[in-house]
Amino acid sequence: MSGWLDGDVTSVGLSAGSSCLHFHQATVEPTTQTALWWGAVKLGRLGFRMFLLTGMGIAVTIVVLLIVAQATYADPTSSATGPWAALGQRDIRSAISLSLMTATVSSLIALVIAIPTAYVLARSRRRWMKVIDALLDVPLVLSPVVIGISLLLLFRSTPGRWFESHLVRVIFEVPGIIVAQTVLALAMEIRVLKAAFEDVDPRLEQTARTLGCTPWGAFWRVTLPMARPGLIAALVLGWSRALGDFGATVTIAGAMPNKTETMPLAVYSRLESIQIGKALGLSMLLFMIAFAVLIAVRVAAERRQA
Amino acid sequence: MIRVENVTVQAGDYALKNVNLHVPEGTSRIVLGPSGTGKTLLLEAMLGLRAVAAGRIFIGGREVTNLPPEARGIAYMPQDGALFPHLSVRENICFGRRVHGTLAGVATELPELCQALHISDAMLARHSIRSLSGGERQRVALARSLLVKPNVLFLDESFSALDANVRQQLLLQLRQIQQARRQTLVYVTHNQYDAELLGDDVTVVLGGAIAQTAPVRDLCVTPGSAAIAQFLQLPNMVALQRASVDEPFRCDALSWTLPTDALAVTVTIRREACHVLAAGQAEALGLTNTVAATVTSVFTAQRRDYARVTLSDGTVLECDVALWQLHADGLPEVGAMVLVHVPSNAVSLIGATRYTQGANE
Repeated sequence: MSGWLDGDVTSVGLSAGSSCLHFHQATVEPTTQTALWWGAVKLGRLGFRMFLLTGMGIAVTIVVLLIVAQATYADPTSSATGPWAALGQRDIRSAISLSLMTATVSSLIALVIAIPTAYVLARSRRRWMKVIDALLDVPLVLSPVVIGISLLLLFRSTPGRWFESHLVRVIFEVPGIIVAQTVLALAMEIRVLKAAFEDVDPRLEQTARTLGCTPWGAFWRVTLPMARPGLIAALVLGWSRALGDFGATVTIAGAMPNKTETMPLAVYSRLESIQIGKALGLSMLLFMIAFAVLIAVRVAAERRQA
Repeated sequence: MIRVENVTVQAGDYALKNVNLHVPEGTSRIVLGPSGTGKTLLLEAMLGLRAVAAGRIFIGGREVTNLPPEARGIAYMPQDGALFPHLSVRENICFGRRVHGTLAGVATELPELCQALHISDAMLARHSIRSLSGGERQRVALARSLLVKPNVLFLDESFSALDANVRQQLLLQLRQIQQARRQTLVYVTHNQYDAELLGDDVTVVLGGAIAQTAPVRDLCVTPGSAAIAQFLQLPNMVALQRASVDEPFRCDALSWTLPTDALAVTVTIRREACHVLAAGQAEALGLTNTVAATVTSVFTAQRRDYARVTLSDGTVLECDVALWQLHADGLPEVGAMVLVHVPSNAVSLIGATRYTQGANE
């Protein structure tokens, strides 16, 4: 195989005075070279496409298999194992409403705390802020059970006992679920919101200030609206984390039916008492609620953006 | 009116020290300097976006040194316009008035402003700024800044990303509005051509200090120092010497009497005021102070033709060829021997300016 240079040198030697032959010779070799080069490029593109599609295919397959596994085991229309049958039971209805209520309240409380925290983290250039940033990530990597134990010990300490006796009872009560889920959702929401605030150019806030906005006004009129997609994403992820929590909730609030039993706890307790059908119906219901909420939020966000 | 008195601004290790600046009411001031010389620091201090370490700042006769940006009665237009992407075009323009709670007069003021800035009704009606071109964005940002009727309008390299035609068009429109409204304006840039189109006066910032303030038309004629002349890329900087003050300064066969007692000076020679002459033209036009030179290249700048010539002592000059073209078609050939005429009024002493130099005005 000859390269560009080989072809050129050969043609100069042979063609001596024939510019036409020279041109012809000089273009034959590069054409082969170009074809090979294009072949390599196409192969590279195909490889990259395969890499992307394989990854995505595996991710989608995992989720679909989870659903199919349940659907094939349980007849969705069955009175024993279907999600609609699960809705007919009082303790299940209680678990559903408790889960939806606590996940919504705790993700909203977490959002109110996460907004200023994430904004400070996104804007501050101080070195020690990196330590705080890492500290706030701790709940993300800890097991929810460990967080539940920490909360349990906190409310068993002297200040915790005072809090419980004078303000709100937390341990083995619904506020305990909200506290645990808020802690879990908070770390998630801070992470998402920090990225959203970092995407808002500080010069836009400065421009708003020079046009008459106070710092609060610039935040309210410019920063928050521009971070809206991030706000929605943070709320959805925080809500999902809260809705699906098992470890922290069961540790601090127990799993008392009709009192502190959320949906994940209800599923587990049905499995534990070998009520497979009820557990399946409930888990399918949990899946449908979560999926419906995620879709609804995305559609609402896109409609608003349009 | 803006008055900056002995202001020092610190940013990390870099400082702008003891700066004094006075921008009279209703005038347009260009703050000109290369990147990294501190002109943006000065701007941020005037805007209230950066605290000053020392000194005082007055805007509209009121001290604003410790006031936040929103209390200074100003407007600011950054480099890319910084439009708010979550708002429509109309909402962007009315943003400042809405914040101030003075939307009442907008219905009559907005059409006038849009007409002056060539913002069409269709553009104004757009729900998103994302579809606007670069020039349209700058018009909208300018309208937003002007609609709040600021005491001072600050612009930071606001048109530098636009192509030359659009930039020139916008600068001329802004100049027209500034003069019609007698709007005090401060425009920070590194581009001297922007300065010529928009400014009344220019303040040159070099090396963390104000190097010179002068009317725009005089800056290139009387640069305050060799550093300023170099920054302005003035052609024909020539070092001259003489043995005694009674002699004129000489450069090859050229000689000039200059208003200085110094024995060694550096001058700039305006290239549009010195001329390449064809054979016999000097006698025909009665021109003296000429010298023989060799043409080393010809070029066009700002729609005028020039020749770069070398004198026998090695001095290189850029000269206008308009007179030569009266005698012959086209341009002088490279390598041709020509005569060059450099009158005294083409020669300016660097540093011999009546305008401000150094940190104080």
